[in-house]
Amino acid sequence: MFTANTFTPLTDFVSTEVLQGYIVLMALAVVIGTLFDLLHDKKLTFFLQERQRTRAAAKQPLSGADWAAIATRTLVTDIATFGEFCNPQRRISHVLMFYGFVLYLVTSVVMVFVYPTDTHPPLVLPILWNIGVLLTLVGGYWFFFLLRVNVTHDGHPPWRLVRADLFYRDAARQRHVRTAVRSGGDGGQRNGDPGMRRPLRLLHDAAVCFDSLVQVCPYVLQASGGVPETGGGGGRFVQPANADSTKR
Amino acid sequence: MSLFSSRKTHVVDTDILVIGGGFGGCGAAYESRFWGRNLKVTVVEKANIERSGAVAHGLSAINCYMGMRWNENQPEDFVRYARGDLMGLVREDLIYDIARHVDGTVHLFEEWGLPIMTNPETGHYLREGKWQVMIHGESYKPIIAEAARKSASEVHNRIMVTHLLMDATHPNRVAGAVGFNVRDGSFYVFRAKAVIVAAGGASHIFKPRSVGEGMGRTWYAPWSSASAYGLVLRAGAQMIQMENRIVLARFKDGYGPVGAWFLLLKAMATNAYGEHFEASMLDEMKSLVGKYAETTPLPTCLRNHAVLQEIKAGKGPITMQTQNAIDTREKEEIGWEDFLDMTVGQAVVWASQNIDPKEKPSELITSEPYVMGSHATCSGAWASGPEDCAPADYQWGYNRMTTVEGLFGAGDTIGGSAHKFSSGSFTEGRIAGKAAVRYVMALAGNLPQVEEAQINTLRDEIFKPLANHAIGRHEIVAGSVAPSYISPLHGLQRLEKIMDEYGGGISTQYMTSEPMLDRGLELLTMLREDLDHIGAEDLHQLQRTWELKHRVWTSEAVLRHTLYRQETRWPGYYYRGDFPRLDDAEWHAFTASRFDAKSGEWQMSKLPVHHIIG
Amino acid sequence: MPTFTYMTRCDGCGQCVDICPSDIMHIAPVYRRSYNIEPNFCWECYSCVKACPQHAIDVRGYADFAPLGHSVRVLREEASGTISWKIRYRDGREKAFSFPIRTTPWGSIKPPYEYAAPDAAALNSPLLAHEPEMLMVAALPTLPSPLEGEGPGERGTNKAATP
Repeated sequence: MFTANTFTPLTDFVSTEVLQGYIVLMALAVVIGTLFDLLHDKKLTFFLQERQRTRAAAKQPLSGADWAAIATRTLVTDIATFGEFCNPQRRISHVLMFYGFVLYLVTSVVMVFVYPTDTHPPLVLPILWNIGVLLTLVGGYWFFFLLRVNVTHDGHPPWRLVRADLFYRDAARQRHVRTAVRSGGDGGQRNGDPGMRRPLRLLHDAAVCFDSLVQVCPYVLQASGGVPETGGGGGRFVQPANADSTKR
Repeated sequence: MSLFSSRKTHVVDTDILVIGGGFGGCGAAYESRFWGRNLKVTVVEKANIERSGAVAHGLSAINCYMGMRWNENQPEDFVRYARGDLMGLVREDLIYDIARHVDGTVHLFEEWGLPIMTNPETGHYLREGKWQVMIHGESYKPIIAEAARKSASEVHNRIMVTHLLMDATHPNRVAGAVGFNVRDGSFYVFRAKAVIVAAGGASHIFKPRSVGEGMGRTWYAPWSSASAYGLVLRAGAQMIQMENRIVLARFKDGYGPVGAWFLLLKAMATNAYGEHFEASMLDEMKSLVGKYAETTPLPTCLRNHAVLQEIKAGKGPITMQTQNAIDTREKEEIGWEDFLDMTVGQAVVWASQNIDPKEKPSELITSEPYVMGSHATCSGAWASGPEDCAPADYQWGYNRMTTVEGLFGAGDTIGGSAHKFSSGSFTEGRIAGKAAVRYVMALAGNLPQVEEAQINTLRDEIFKPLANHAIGRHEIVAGSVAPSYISPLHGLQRLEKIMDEYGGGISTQYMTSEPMLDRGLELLTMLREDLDHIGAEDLHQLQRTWELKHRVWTSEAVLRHTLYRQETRWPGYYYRGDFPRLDDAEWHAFTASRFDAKSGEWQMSKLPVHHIIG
Repeated sequence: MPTFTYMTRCDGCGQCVDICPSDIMHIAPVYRRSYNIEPNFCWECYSCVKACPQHAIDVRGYADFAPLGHSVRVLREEASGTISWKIRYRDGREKAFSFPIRTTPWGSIKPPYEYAAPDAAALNSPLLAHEPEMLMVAALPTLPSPLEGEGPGERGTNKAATP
C-alpha cells in the first residue's frame, strides 16, 4: 500500500496528459493568483515603499556581509525552521506541516510527470509521499485541534471555523481523499472527486506558500534598507537638519 | 434552554470570595491566606490579575505613606489632611485605620521587589510630597499579582461577576455571586461564606472630553465600570457620598499626572498671560465655602475651581511651566518617568505635538467627573469601622463589612475613606481580608444557602442581551440601527450624555440644580428600562453590556445623592446652582441611600460625621 | 493612543489577548494574528505592547488629538528587571530612558502561609500580618479611649473639636 504510485489509479479515468496539464494549470494559477494579489491589492507597492522608507531611515549602512547574514538568518531561522513562532509547539507543528507538504508536493509532481502509469516507481517516491502525508496530517491535526490561538486564547469552540481555517480543513480533507483513493486500488472507495478538490487545495497551498513569502519579503526588503527595527513613522516626515537627539 | 444551547455551568464553592483582582482584591487575598490558613480563598477577575485594574500601566508614586519609622508623619495628621481635602466629610475612623497600617504594606511591597526611590541625603524614601513617595513602579501590578496568586486557592481570570447572590435563609445576608466566562460564555456560580467586593469605581459615566478613539483615554481606567457600586447597591447595601464625584486637573488630553511636577519638581501653573491666579481667588472661594478656603494645603476641589474660574474668564489655556522645573538631566528623567510609569499616553501626546517639557509648557485642564472611593474622593458603601477606634454608631460588625451581612468591601467600594490610592486600597483589602476570615470562622455551621430559582433567573438575565441581538437583528437588513435593541456603546453614550448635561458634567462646567437633576433622573429612568433591550453581538459585547448596567445603576445613585445634598460642598467638583454655598449647619453629614431591589425604591437619609481626631 | 499590531511581526501567539485589561486584543479571523477590536476602549496601558514576545504591537496616538509621525516604543526585560523607552517626536527628535522595574527575582515573593501561623490573640487584635514588625515602629498606633473631645462613655457622639 505504501509502495504504490497513488496516481496511477487516476489514469483509469483521465489521461496522463490531462493529469499533467492540470498540474501545470494549477501552478500557473498559483503564479497568476500571487501576482494578482501582489498587484491588485497593492501589497507589492507597500513592500517597495517600506523598503524605501527603511533605507532612508537607516542609521547605519549595511555591508554586503551584514546583508547576507541577515538574509541567511531569515531563511534558516524564520522560514526553514519557522523561528518566528515563539511558542515551541506551534513552531514544531508548522515545521511538520510545511516539510510534509513539500515532500508531498515534490513526490507528487515526480510521480505524475515521470512515472504516471508506473504502479511501482522507485520505492523512495511513494515512501516519501506517504511520509509527507503523515507529517502534514500530524502537524495539521495537532495544530487544528490543539494549537489554534483563536481556540486556545480567544474562546472559540474548536468547531468554529474562520477564514484562516480554510487551508487546514481543505488540506486535511485532501489527504483523506488521497489515502482513500489509494487504498481503494481499483476504485473501491471514493470520498468525493479528487479532481474537483485539487485546484482549491492547490490554491490554498499556494496561499500558504505565498503567505510565508509575504512575511519574508519585508524582512528582506528591510534588511536591504537598513537595520530592521527603526521605530515607526518618523521616517515619513521631514527630518530637521539639526534635530536634537537626547540619547542616553 | 434551546435546541442548540449548550451553556455550561460551573459551580464554585469557597469560603471567601474576592471579587476584583486589583489592589484591593490582591490585598484581601494576601491577608485572608495569612489568617485563614485552611480556608479556601477564591479571587475572580474579569480581566487578568497580572495587569488588571487601575494600576495596569504601573504608578510613579505611592501617595499614601506615613513614614512613621522616620517620624515623618503620624496617622492623625493624615486624617486631618484627608478631612481638609474633602471639606470635612470623611470617615475619620476608616482613614485612621488605613493610615496606621499602610506603612507596613509599603515595606512589604519593598521586600517583594518594588523599587522605591531613596533620598541620597537621608536614606529615607524619596518624598514627592508630604504623603507621597516616588517609586519605579512600572511593574507595581505584576509584583502584587504574584503575591495574590501565591495566596489565593484559585484565581479565575476572565470571569465577569454580574450580581451578588443573597442568602435564602437569612434576610440581608450575602451568599455568593454569579457571572460569566468572557472567553467561552459559560455560567459561573460562586457560593461563598463571605464576599469581599474590591471591584472598580466609575469611569465613563460622564461624557469624556475626547469622544472618538480618545474616549479610551479617560483619567481613570475605562474598565473601572462601577461594579464596586453596581454589585453592592443592588444587594441592598447602604451607600454614602455618591454625589462626591471627583474632577482632576491634569495635563490636557493625555491626562498625565501632575503630582511629581507640582510637588517634587516644583513646577507652577499659570494662565495664558503667565499670571499665577490661585491666590487672587481666595476671597471668592471664602464667599462660597467660608473658612474651608483657608485649609492648607488648598483642597483639590478648590484648586480645580480656580482653574475653572480662570478659564471661564477667558484667561485660558492654563499651562504648567514645565520648562522652568527641569533644569537637570535627573529632573528630566523624573518628569518623563512620571508619565512612562503610569500614563504613557501623555508621553505620546508630547511626542506627537512636538512638546519637549524642557522647552515648552504644557496645557492643563479639568477632567470629566468620576465616581470612586480611593482618591481625593470617597463615594462608596457605608462600612463598619475598626473595633478599637471607631465610634459606636460606626460599627455594627466586622471591620469593612457593609450593611449587608457577610459582604465586605475594599478600595473604591468603601465610602468615606478618602486618599487611599494604591497602598491604601491594598491595605484596606488586607483589613477586609482579615475581617472576613474572622467572620467565616465565627459562622460555624450557620452557612448561607442559595436558591436554585434565584440562580436560574439570574442566568437567563445575564445572557439575555445575546438573545436580544441574535433574534432582533432579523428585523433589519444590516447595520447597527435596529428598532428593538441598542448596542452597549449606544447605551453608554446615552448615559454619558444624560449625566453630562443634567448631572454636572463638562458641558455645564460641572453645574447642576434640582430641575436639571429631576430631568436627568427622568431620562435615566428610561435608559434603565432600556437596559433590558441591549443587544450584545458576542461575549465581549456581553461584558460591555454588564459594565453598562453597573454604570447605569451607579449613576442613578449619583443623581439621587446629588439631588439630596442641598448645598455646594465641593466647588470644582460640582456646583448646585440652586444652593451655591456650603451649608455646614444643615449638611455637615454624609448623604446615604439604600436601594430595595424588590420594590425598586430608594431611601435617602443623612448619617453623622464624627470628628474623632481633633 | 490605541494599539495596533504589525502584520509582519505578529505570529499569533495570543499573549496580548491574555493580558489586555480591557479585553480588546483579539485574533483576526483571516490572518489569525492579533488586532485591537475597540480602540476607543484602549487606555494605552501598554500591557500588550510589553507582553508581546515579538514586539509586534505598537501605539499610534489617539486620532482625536495626537498628530501623526510619533512613536513611543518600549522594551520590558523581566530577566534584568528593567524597562527601556524610546521616544521619537513628530519632528524627529528622540529621547531614550531606562528605569528599574523590580529589585528581586520574579517568583521570589514569600507566600503568606510560609510565615508562622498567627495565634488567637493576634487574630482578635487589630494587627495585620507581620505587625508590628513590618510597620518598623514599636506598636500599632491606636486612638485613646475616650476619643479626643469625648467624655468617658461618649463614643459615637459628635462632641469632638470642630473640623
